[in-house]
Amino acid sequence: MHEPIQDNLEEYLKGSASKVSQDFQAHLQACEDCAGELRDMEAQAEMLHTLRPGKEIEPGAGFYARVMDRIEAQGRASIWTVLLEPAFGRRLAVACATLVVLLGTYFVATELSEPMVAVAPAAVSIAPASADLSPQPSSDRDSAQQQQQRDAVLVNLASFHE
Amino acid sequence: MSGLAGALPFPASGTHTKAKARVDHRNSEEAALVRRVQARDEIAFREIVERYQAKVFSIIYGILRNHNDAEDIAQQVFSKIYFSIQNFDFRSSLLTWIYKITVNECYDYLRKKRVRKLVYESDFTEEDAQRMQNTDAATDQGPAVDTQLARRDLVLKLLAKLSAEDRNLLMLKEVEGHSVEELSQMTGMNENTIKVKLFRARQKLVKAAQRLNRGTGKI
Repeated sequence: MHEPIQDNLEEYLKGSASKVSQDFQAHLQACEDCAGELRDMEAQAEMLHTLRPGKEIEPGAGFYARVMDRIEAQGRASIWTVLLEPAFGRRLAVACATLVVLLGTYFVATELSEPMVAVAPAAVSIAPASADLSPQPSSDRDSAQQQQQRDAVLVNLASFHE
Repeated sequence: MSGLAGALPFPASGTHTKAKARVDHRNSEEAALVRRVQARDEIAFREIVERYQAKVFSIIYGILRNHNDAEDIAQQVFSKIYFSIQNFDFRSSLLTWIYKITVNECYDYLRKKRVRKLVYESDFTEEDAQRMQNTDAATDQGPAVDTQLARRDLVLKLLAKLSAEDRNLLMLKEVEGHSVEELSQMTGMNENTIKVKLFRARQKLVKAAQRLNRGTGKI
């Protein structure tokens, strides 16, 4: 649509033909495209008028009370319905999955770092001999570990014989 | 109405540009009422409900033509107003803001319910196309009731193709009958911006109708 039509479009559609410039009329006669588009717009403006209610509609008595009831219900529900919202549910699922992965990783890592003594008592039973043959009293921590291992071996042997 | 306030830069076009005093929506009696509601004054909220309930009902009834639906949606509109009035920024008039909420609620309702009577593109039939054909302004000699319904359904469907901002502006102009000057005061945009936005919205509506007609074999 060209400028002379565009500039005067609202006045024309309002029905104020007298306010429309001469350029508008001249262009409309000369330009087939603008005339066609203007016809479409006129038809649509007329169709939009079908959405006019015609008369003012008043609500039934007690409308305000019903509005307040709804507000109260929605205000009350909003605390709990947040748990049912899809977005919240998705976040909750992601958080749970992350927690499971983290816990799984932690347990696997913890299990791998633990001494194997309790798992294979027969194999470990050889250990004290080698430990006795080559003692390494390099530090207190090592000796404490050795003591711990010895205790574990003793426990294992005791349970093995039983 | 932050969406409507995003004014387009548009050069003033000579004779049509008038220097109008901007309406200050922050310092009106209405603004004082809104501030009271924002401070959770229920008497002020009741005043808003009583002041605008007939308007809201009429807007909804104009779109849906059903009293029961109008009551339900009107309650929802005022409930929305109650919960979101803290976000009202006084850039537009309260009525413009309420109008936007009301029309959006109607479209939400139509989308959710997918009312059988209403024509949607996905279930557009030959019969609907035939009814549309009868709605041309040139052949419309005293429309029958079903023709009126078809026209309303069609225009609602076409409006659904526009953005909420374009739809509200066009409806305020054509359905509510506000002038460009009034729209400028209501929205806080200048008159030329309103004209440009209206023109673009009308163009989109024409294109949507053409697409629909092409889709149903009617040129």
